[in-house]
Amino acid sequence: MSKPKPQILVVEDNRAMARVISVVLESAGYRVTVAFDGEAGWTEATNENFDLIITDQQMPKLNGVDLCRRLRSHDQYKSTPIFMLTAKGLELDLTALKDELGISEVFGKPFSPSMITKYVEQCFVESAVFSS
Amino acid sequence: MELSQRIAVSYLLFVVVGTVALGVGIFWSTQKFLSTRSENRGLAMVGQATPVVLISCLKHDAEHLQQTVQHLHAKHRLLYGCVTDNSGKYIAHTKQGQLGKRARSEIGKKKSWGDIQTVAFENEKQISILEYKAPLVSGKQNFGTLTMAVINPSIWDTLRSSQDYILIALLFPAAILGAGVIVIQRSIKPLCAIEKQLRYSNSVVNFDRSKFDSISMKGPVANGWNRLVEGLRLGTQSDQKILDAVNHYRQNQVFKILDSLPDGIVVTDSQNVIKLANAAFLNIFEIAEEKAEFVGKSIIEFIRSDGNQEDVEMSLASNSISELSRFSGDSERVLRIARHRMREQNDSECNQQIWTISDITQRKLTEKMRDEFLDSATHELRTPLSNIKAYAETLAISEVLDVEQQKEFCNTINSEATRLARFIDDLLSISNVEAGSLAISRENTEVDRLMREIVEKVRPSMVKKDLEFNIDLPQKTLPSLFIDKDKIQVALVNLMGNAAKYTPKGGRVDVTVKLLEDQIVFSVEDTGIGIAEDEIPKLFDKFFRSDDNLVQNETGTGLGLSLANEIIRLHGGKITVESQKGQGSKFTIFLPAKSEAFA
Repeated sequence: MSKPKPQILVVEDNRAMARVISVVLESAGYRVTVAFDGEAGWTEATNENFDLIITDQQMPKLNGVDLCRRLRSHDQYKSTPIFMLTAKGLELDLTALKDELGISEVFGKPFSPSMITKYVEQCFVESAVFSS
Repeated sequence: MELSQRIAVSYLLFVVVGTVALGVGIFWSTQKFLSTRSENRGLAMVGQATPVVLISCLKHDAEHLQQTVQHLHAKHRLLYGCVTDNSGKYIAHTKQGQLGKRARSEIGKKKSWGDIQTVAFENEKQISILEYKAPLVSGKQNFGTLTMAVINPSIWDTLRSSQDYILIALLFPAAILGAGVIVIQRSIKPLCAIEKQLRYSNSVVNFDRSKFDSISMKGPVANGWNRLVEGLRLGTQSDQKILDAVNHYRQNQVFKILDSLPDGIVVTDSQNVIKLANAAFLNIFEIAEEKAEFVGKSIIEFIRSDGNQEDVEMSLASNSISELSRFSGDSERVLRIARHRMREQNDSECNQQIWTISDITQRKLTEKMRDEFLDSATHELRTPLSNIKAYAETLAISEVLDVEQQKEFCNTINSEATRLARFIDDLLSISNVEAGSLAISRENTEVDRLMREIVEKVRPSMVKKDLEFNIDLPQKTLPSLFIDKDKIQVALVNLMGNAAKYTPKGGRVDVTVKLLEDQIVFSVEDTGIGIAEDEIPKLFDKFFRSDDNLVQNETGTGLGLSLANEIIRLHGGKITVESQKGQGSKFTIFLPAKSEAFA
């Protein structure tokens, strides 16, 4: 039996950006759900089970870092891989993000969607290795 | 030595020495004169006497000879006269009992005048005697020597004899000299007193010219000096007065300057105790001036505000410049406190410090707003850029997309590029506003058409949020306006865009255009989140964005209203705001209805 395709949650307030990411990921064979702000993202996350969460940083209602904190305090997403997209680039304290919140990758805008896809694949390969 | 003494001594020395020299000179020449005269006399005498004696000798008469010699003795007033034969025996002598005796050779000063010899000597009685010896020679016959002795008149003898008279005689010149000394001393007394003061002034390092004193003598010199001293004293007094006045003025000026400065200026000692504080300092820390309670207190006490005492101490101890927050009432101010060492004129290490306290609240606020703006701007630039890049890259990987998707992606790239361009335009406009170089180029514009274009532009954003969008244009055709169409469009689009942005889903936006006398009035009213009363004055400030979460959640640069305001202002119009927080806002633009006037 083929394993179910991994489900990815994309939380991004810029519609166009969300669209292109989901198109690219879907064509790579993943199932993608999109949320357009932090709160919506949280709702989606708690409604379903996602294997990877890709979130933007600057969003209305709930920003990316706060969303991550919430996710990490939730049993379900304690160790789920999280990627962060950010327009802030170098201004964010990357080490804090990586150490404190366990964010695996940070992508500064503009980024290349295919690059994200590659990292996503890598991420699942690793987890597959670990799980098996 | 005092001047008078010096002069007296010099006078005496020179006069006395001169006189003595003169005396000695006169004495010596007189002496010389006298001795020469007596010598000449003596020689003449001997010259006369010798032939007479010779004649007597030729007679070979001893008695005749004796008589002749006697005769000579009497004639010339000799001390003694004698004739000695060749063996040295007296053959004639005016002194009794000498005949036949041997002649003694007297010892003394010898001289020869031709064949006449003279000897000057002193006898037992200490009388100066001059002996003349002439040879008695006639033809081949040598009878011996004729000796004639006279008393040698010397000045010494005269002096000795007249000792007493001389002493009395010297008394008179001495008295004159003494009188002379006294007269001189008297007449130079004022000069001596003056000289004394001048010497003193030379010996002291920092001599104060008012230390010269008047002298108590009389006479023109003394009076002249006293006048001079009085003049100096007055001069010094008036100099002092001028100096005091200048110092006073400068101090007043300095205080005026200090009190006019907006920053607080405080002078403290090394222990931070306040010595001087200007008006601004009292203002900042709300100290009443009359109380003057700040003098003598440590400046740290005033700088402290509740809760941050240790921080203040530490910060001030380690830095010479610190920034501290201070709460007064319910407003927070940020103060920049700088400490400087006071420079002394002689470059010595001074213990005083000068503190400057500047209120940089406004500057901090501006900085904060600018940082927020930069954040916003970065975001606004990066977002469309990221999209363009992501879409373009995805397009290039042709396997991913189908034809419909490709079209969609290209359109997205296009619209994102447009969005970016518009934002950059806004930025440039704002920078022009900053530089004061935003220019408007007017042209005749039909209002109806303008409104139609604008409405089409903003409609999508209204639709997206399900907003009820109403346009109310008057029945009559509006006049054409002589305006910068593009810029006015920017302003109106901005207002409507804001209405759409800040009105929650399902709300309403009403746009009205009215003609009011000589003005056209555009108003944009919404049922949105509204604006707080205290924010309305700041609304049109550059970079200003409300702190309200609802506003912060939307993207915005804080530039739109500032730009719109500037555009309307350049057209001679104005924008007004009415708003109720939580209920909605109404923005109204008043534009003068000019039509090709003042072209």
